[in-house]
Amino acid sequence: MTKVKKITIDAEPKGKKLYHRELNKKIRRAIRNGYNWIILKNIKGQRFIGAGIKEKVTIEVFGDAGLDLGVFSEGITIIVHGCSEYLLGNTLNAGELIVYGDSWDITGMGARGGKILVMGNGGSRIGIHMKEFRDKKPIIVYGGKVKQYCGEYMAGGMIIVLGLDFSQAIKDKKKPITRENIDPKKVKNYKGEIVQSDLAGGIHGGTVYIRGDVPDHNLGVYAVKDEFTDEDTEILTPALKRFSELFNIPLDLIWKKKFTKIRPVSSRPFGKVYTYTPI
Amino acid sequence: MRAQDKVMPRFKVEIDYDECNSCGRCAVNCTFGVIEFDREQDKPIIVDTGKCVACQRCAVFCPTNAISIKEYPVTYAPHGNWTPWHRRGVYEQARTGAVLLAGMGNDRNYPVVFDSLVWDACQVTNPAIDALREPVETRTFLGRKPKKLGIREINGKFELEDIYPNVMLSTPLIIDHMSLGSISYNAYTAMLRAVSEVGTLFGTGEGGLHPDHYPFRKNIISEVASGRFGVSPDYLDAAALEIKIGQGAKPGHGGQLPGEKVTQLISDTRGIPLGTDALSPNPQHDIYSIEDLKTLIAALHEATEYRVPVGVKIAAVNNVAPIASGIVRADADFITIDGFRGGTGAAPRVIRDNAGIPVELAVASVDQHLTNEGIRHKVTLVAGGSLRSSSDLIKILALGADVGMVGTAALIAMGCRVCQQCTTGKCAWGIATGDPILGKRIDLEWATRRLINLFCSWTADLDEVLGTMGIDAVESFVGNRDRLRYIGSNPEEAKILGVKHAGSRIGIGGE
Amino acid sequence: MTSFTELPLTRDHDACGIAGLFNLDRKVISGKKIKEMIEVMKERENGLGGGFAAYGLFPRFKEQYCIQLILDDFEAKEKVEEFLKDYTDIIEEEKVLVKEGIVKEYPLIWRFFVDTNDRENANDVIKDIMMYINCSIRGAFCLSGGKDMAVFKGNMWAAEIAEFYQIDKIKAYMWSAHSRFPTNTPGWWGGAHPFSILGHAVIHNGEITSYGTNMEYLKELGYECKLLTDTEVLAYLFDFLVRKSGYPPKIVHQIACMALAPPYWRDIDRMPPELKKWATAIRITHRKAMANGPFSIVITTDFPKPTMIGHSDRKKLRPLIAAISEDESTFYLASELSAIHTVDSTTNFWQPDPGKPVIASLGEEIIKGTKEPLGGISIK
Repeated sequence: MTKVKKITIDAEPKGKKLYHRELNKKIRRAIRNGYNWIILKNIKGQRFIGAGIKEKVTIEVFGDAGLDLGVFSEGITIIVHGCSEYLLGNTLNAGELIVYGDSWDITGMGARGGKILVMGNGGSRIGIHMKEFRDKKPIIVYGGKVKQYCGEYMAGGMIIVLGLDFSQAIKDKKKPITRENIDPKKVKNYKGEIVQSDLAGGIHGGTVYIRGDVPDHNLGVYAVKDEFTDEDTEILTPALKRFSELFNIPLDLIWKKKFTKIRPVSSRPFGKVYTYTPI
Repeated sequence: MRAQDKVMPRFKVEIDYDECNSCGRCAVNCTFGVIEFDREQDKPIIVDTGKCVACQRCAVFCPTNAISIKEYPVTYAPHGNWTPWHRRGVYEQARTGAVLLAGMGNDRNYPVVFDSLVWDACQVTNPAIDALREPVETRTFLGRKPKKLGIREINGKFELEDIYPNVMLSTPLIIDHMSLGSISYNAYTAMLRAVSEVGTLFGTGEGGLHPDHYPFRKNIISEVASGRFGVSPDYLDAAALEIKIGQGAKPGHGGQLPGEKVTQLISDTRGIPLGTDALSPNPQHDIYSIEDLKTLIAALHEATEYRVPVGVKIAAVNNVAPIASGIVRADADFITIDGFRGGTGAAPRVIRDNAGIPVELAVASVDQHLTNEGIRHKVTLVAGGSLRSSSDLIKILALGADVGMVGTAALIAMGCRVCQQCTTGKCAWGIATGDPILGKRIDLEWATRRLINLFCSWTADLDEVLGTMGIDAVESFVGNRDRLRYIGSNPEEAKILGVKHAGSRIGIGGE
Repeated sequence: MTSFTELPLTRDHDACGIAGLFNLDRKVISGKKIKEMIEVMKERENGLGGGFAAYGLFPRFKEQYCIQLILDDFEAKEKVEEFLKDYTDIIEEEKVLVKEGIVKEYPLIWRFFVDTNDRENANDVIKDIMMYINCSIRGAFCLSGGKDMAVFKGNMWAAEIAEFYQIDKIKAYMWSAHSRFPTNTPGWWGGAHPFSILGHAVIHNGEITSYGTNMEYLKELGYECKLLTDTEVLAYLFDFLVRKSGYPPKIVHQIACMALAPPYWRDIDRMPPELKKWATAIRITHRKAMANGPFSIVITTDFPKPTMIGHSDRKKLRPLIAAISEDESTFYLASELSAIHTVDSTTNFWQPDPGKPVIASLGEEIIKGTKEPLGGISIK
């Protein structure tokens, strides 16, 4: 294993917020100088952290990350001790993005690989148009609940929504949220629907797993429920294990509720919408 | 199928057996199932003339010119309103209940604004330039420009700040985006080879970039569209990046590469499994507003460490000028405007034929609007859809575009007969097809040469014309509406173009 | 009654005589010499316009802007005065005396010495005032608006203009003169050269084929080209590049000249890397400032200090000769050597290279327009 070489970058040196361009420049410089664990202090919504980075390094963010965290990146690990804005992992190619907080709309848009694990809740259009290719299979796990159009046009990969409520489980709310700061006994299940309407609308590849029931009226066009089999258990296990490790919650507790599996009607749902113009 | 479902053929193919030498080339070349070779009779026969699309492949490859293709002699009862075109559309939709898909560009007979424009030349008061023997410069830079330079004086020495990244084009003409898949491997490769030889650019389309094509990076505009196919750091390492918001042939519409066209090659390039539909949604879901566009532009700048220009492509629509202005303010380095005659691999016909506005009016309006807002100098304006000849290119430059783009013209250079069957993937000329066997019909060397020739001859035309206007660098011609005149019959059109009517002297009308 | 200020309906093209004379010791000299210089090139004009620009005219009002106007009548003068009062303090005003009997009809010529209310943006205020008067006040046309300088011009033969304004009785340290051969239309008083904005005066022989492009560029930069002359375009481009750009004074004229007539790409490609970077940046940034088509021009300006520039197009389709007197006290520019030799038999004369400027700036070494572009600039 490569030796961990850490460096801390203050995103607010002398009380002045660094603009994303300067911050990313500093990050890239640190990578070029051989650091592989970069700690960012005092982040206040800086956008594009880790954009387009191919190196397998870790960035640890303290504070709330801005839009497009890890956009276009391929292999980076980013851990956010706070929330992350819209478009987390936009067009992600590989790597792991971990958020100890919430992250709202359009997470993992068009992702082709990598993992996105969010402890808290999500917004609309999570995992829109994700796709998979060969060994690349993007995975999004949300600990809490998500809103409408989750998995829209999905073409591959996996979205998992757990419906767990961590809001009472933070031991010391003044400290940044880390694994150690989570009290597993106080994690609860959300009551009621944890996904909203148009779930997986237009899906033509990949799978969505929702912990608990999904009412039919929430299913989007061309999405259907399917039987949850042992094979699914096998597929889900590594991702859930990772989630349980990261967020300090026992795996058994997650398995206590049954999952609903949602898949496309076919890989060619729109096949009959169009016809050729007559000669 | 009932007999009533039958529609009479469009074309009648005939083989003159007196001339035919039974070589069978026609049957081999027909991809639409019209001609087959009958072994018993030892001659090619017409099996279904109803499938003929008049692509001419059989006729061109017939060594004895024995094949003729005519309009089918069963006429529709004449009707000035219910044209055969309308009737055929109704028959097909009544039969299938589906949306009609069409390829190429708008084929309706709208008036062409280009054809109402003529240009000026030097007489007496200033000398024309002899373009063959004296320099006339066509070099153009694609990218953002500052209003003025940043110069610092340090100890009596002057230091110049770097300006924004700009891509150098040898001529103000690029090939617009066409994805591998909509276009065959050989046709695609030929276009890349040609632009790299000429020193200009070709767009990847929404289809990713095949590893074979990585060596052409310096001449590639990588497209970031709603489907985000193949968008990886490797893909972003191109000469320029372009966010595709819209396409002239189908403004507001995304795209769909049907699963049967997702072959191994396409699967590898786009990074999607074999045989699945590749869907490009109508909007980009990280762009719901102009602020979001600004965000995506910034994300691409960050991801590429500000090394390459990032542009935005939009279809020419009613509100194109304010939209363009918003795009400039969102920090785009270039704007591409695709007119309503722009081509496509496939689009709903109803959209292809009716949505959007002519690029001539769009460009003139955008150029003037950005000028009035004081931001025109910042961006490079690219425009096409459709430029049919060097004269269209020249006119679009004078109307305000820095760079023209062609798509269909490049395909025609490689043999396309404009039969509008791109959608079917059966292109007999091996151009608009994902079929690897058909794709081999394009000879790489030959096609590359033809494309280079097209670029060279259009550039030579541009040189000659600039020379006759006494202009020796193309940048002095961009937006030079003063040198154009309008000969159409619509004063409103001339006003929007910002061009005076032919016969007006220089300066009349002010503004 | 004839209007002297009404805009023509068409844009002018010119093929004319130009001359410039600059006392490098800043000593004022009579207009006699410049008059002789321009008169000797009579074959280059057709009697439809001529004019002079002179610097160092008003020692008493050196710090005030001198707005010099041609007016159809007193009513127009009052309108101008009223307008000026809104934005400036009028320190002094006077009628410009002219000689009777040279021309049958002529306008009222008047000058105001003013201080702007807004001192910080004084130059921009004066620029806008000049543009407003020319476009919007009927019966008035602003000949010049710089400090310690004025433009004298009209629709006559150059010799008649000199007589009319009694140029030989005026003393200035820097002079330029123009005699005109407008090719498309009858000339008009306002359209004669020099064309001036603020302290810049441009005289021009040629036709700008890039007019439309330049005009669009200027519109973006806040200059409305309403007077329909190529020369107006050149003056505004020069004002933007030299004054508004804020480029370092030491090199600003060279940068401006390079933007107006940049080197060919083939030449830029062969330049040493640093120079190449400068030339490329200047050319692509100010791409629409390039003045295409044939021209030779003399630009006189007091910004940032008294300077006379001779410049030509890249293909050198109009003539220009430069010279310095033997005692190195006077710098000359003219369309033809004969004009210079009429007043000074100096042997120190030369023809500048195509597209390369000759720049004589007070107290600086003369840039002769025969070396590398941006010659003499120490660049990093």
